Amino acid sequence: MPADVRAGQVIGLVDVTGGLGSPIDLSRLADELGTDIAVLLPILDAGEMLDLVKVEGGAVSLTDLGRQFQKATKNKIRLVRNQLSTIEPFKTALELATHGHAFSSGQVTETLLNRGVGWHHEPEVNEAIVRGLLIHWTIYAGLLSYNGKTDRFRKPLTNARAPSD
Amino acid sequence: MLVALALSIVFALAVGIAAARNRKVEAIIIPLLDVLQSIPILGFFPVVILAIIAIFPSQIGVNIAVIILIFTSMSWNIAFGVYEAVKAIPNEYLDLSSMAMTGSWQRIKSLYIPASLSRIAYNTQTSWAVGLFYLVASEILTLGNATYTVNHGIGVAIIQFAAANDYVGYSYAIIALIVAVVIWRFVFLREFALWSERYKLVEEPRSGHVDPLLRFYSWVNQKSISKLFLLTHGRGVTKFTSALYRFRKTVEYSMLILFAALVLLVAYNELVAMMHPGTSLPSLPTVAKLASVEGPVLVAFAYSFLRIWYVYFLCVLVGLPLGIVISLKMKLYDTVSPILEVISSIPAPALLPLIVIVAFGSGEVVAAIVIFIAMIWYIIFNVMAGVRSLPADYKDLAKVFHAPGRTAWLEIYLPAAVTAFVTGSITAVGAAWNSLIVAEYFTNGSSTEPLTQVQSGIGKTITVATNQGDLLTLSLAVITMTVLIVLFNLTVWRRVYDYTTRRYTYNR
Amino acid sequence: MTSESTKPELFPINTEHGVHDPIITVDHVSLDFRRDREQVPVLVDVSMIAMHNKFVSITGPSGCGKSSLLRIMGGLTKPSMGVVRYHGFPISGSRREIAMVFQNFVLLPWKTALENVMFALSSRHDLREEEARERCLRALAEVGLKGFEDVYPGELSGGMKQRVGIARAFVLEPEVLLMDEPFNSLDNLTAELLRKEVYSLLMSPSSPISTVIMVSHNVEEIVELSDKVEVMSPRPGHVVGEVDIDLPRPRNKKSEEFFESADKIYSLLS
Repeated sequence: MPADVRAGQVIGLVDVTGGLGSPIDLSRLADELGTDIAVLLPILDAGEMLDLVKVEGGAVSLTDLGRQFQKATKNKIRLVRNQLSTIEPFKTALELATHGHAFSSGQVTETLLNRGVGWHHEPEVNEAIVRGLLIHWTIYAGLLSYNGKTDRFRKPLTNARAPSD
Repeated sequence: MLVALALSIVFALAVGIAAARNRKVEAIIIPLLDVLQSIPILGFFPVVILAIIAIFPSQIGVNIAVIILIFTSMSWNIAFGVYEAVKAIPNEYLDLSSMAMTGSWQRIKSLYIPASLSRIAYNTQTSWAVGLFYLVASEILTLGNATYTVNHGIGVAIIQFAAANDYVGYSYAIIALIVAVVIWRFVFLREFALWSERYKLVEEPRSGHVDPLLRFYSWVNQKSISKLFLLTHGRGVTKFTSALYRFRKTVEYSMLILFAALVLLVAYNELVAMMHPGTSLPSLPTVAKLASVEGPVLVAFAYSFLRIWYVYFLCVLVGLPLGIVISLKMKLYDTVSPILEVISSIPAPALLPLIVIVAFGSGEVVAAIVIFIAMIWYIIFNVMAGVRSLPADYKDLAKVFHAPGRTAWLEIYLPAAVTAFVTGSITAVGAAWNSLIVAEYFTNGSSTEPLTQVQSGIGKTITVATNQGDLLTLSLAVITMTVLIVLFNLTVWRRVYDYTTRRYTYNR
Repeated sequence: MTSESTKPELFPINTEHGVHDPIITVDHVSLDFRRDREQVPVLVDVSMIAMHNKFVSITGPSGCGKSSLLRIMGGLTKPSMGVVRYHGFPISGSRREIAMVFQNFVLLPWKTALENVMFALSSRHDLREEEARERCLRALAEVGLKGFEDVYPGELSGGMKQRVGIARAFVLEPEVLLMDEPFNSLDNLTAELLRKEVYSLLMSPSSPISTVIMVSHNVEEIVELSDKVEVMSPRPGHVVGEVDIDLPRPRNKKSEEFFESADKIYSLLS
């Protein structure tokens, strides 16, 4: 997952693409979204990784999942849980979660570094990126829970009722 | 004083520019400057005097020694300022100058120097106060050692008046000092600062009321200390420092430092032996001798350590609430801060004779008061800067959500002041260590009995050793003090600073 | 009247007044600002009303004093002349029934999202700790931040921070919500998303809020959200015109009527 992409941006991407009718030309999309193409590209990357959009020949269109995503009124990110769990850093984080203990983003970052995966050459910046990505995506997707006070992630506690957002 | 300033500026420019433009130089110099900044300077003063005297005997030598001392107190700070300023030059200007194919000297003259001027001006203001402290302290110090005295100087005048119980003369001297300080500060330095504003390349956002006093107090502290603790804060950190960052383990650090200390000790002894061929100093003292001297040194250090901390506690009790209250009310702030600025410029050593009287001659109380004076300003000014930097919206927050007074203090104002408070504390404690030389043992030249002394303390140890020419004790004391202080900074302060900046700063 | 007090004022609301009386009345308000011994007029003779169940926007060129007007409504600043009334009663200090959302979020960085929301209830000694907590958790869930209770603002994006700000205002169960350029610090995408949710969140039947007053300089967002727009002149500000927007919701930003309404506002602005 690219370093700075957030759930809201992907939601916006799918929304606008769906609203304008696919396929849309890249530059038109950038216009509609009010963003630079440079900013749009990583968001598109994320959209593709999550199997929500397809980029072919300079035009963007929604996938089936993307259409479903657009129509959903609640819990959109939960729809892409499976896709998220195959992407780093979420994949490694989920592995660490299966041990049952709380873990830190530092642990995730180190494990990833050992596998040769990183987002930045400065260790502190790298860890901050990983923490940001984990917090922003896994909570919305219901994959992990996070406590800021201890700065630890863990498997979400199973609730009798589903999240009501 | 002026000579030292001029020297400092030249040095600072040279070093600062070199560091900013050359990554290798940067990697070595910046951490070095940081460590140099935290070393208690007055501790080295006796050493410096001896060394210089050996080369330039008599008056000239002493004056040079004083100048060098003041130089060291000011230059690191200004060098940092230059470094920051040059680093901050927007790339467009750098490109412009390389396109115009200006030679290095041209570049220095027309780009780097103007860019640094503003920072130099601001840093000079803080450094000046610091330099003044050392000026008076060193002039007074030299009197303690009968052989080496400065003939003319305000410090000398003060002490002579006090020694002669000439209260009128003493008061005149103090008032003259205050007047000189005020004029210098408010007229010359302010003019300098304002003039240099013209050369600012990057417009800093001015949020209404510009506060140069607070800005440089907290800014200067913050920037240099952050380098000491090797934080990134979004700015590029060189390979050297980030490698060192991961190298965190205390054990390895302390081993490094101890080793360096040993080397220093040996080198120092060699140097001293060279300068005093008459003294029967073995080229390397035996371990047993070392241990027997080191023992009392450590004890003295412990006394001083405790002393500093209880005074710190008092400073916090007074300074923290005071700083917050003053900065919350605009009117109060506007009237009080110029007064504070003036009072804080009076160097503590100048007031020593007065303090002795007030303290009824109790050495411990005198020491406490001197240390208090040295520390309190850093705490108050930094806390004020911290609270003032709180965006106005936050004061509205308390009103909008009806937070009762106590809640507003605990949840809004105190946390806002925390990082600035920590920064101020770090600098304050550093200043406290320096003040020990004067605070713990002091003579006024004419008599051999000290004007004031504490029962035990490292400052006293150092001063006495200097006066008696006891080089072994002196060197051990200075080195021990330095090593332990730097160690403490790296372990304790660093953790505290890390924690508070992480939790209590605003991320926009 | 009493000077600004921090105790929540609770005037008994006479329900006989019903839904046709204005909730907020701005009554010939003027505001002067003292700078360097000079009186600078910021607002001159401003009057407007905000009714029950309406979303009102105030707009104007920068410097026209619209934020100051909002502050007066919130009891944070006293007008030099005139008075703002809440259900007929003059506002002399901040009231529990009137809450505020800030442009720069103004969250406390050393408190988690939940603690920030709980801060709003710090003066409510009548609520038990458990109750207060429940209320805050629900508010966070309402703004879509379930799961983020224990996260610090430093880890939240701008949009999320603003949601916390909204949740915080929400738990006061205010009747009036004042918003000062709430979407200005957000990037386009986030702002779009949030705007869509804001109307339904704030004006739904289950929400305690009955009137929203928003300051903004973004005409598009104003037409998207508001029932009425008050347009102000450059400094010193006074009201130059009012535009009523009666379009059905959700509003289509590409429709004729949308452009018409926007044009009306633009012409008043120039």
